[in-house]
Amino acid sequence: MADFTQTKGTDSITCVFSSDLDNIDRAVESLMDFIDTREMNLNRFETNFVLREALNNAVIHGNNKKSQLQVICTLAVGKNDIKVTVRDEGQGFDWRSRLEHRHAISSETSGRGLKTISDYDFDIRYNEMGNTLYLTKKIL
Amino acid sequence: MSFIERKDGLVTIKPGIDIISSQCESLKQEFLEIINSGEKKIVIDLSETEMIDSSGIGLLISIRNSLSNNGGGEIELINMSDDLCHLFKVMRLDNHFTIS
Repeated sequence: MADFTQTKGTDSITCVFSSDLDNIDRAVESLMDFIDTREMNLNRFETNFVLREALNNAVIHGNNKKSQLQVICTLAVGKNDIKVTVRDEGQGFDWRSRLEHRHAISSETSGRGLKTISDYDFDIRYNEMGNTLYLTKKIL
Repeated sequence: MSFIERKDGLVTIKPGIDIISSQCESLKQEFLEIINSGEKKIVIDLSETEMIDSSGIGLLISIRNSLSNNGGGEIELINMSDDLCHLFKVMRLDNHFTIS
């Protein structure tokens, strides 16, 4: 199993990697480098944060940091949007409940990622099982 | 390895890196050593930190909680970038840390 691979197309990039935290950094760097080659009206910090949260969730919560499990992330650039798909090999989770209760209280150490992704105007969807995340960001 | 300075009863820690999931475990150990040495107020200099992800936020909150549980304490975040300040506002955390 490859530790980290990336494949670039004209309008998309796909990263496949084992569930190690260091690979999140590599994937985010690759995805941001791809975005940087385009002239896109995107907030770089917010996009970086959202990609990190999506990949953190897949590696840490989805695959429980089991390095034998992979994460597949594709970022596709459209004319008016970007679409990000992140799939892990975990058991999924009750995403409906999580999306309904996104407001973490101040003393909690986790539970803010999805709300912040939403606050940064990324549309959030999951597959039924909850192990594939679909993000869409409209570009004005 | 963070830069740590003790001066006039105040400890300042400058991570010098992003506070993200891949760095949290080693940073946690550094913070715990400071807390366990009895410090009540910790200043975190974020002048060389561009990104804090939710794992990093969780780490900062756990440090704050540890200080509170040790009889009260405070974390002051200094030299935050505009992006990080905005992130803390979006997360409604700006009222829970001293930011200057």
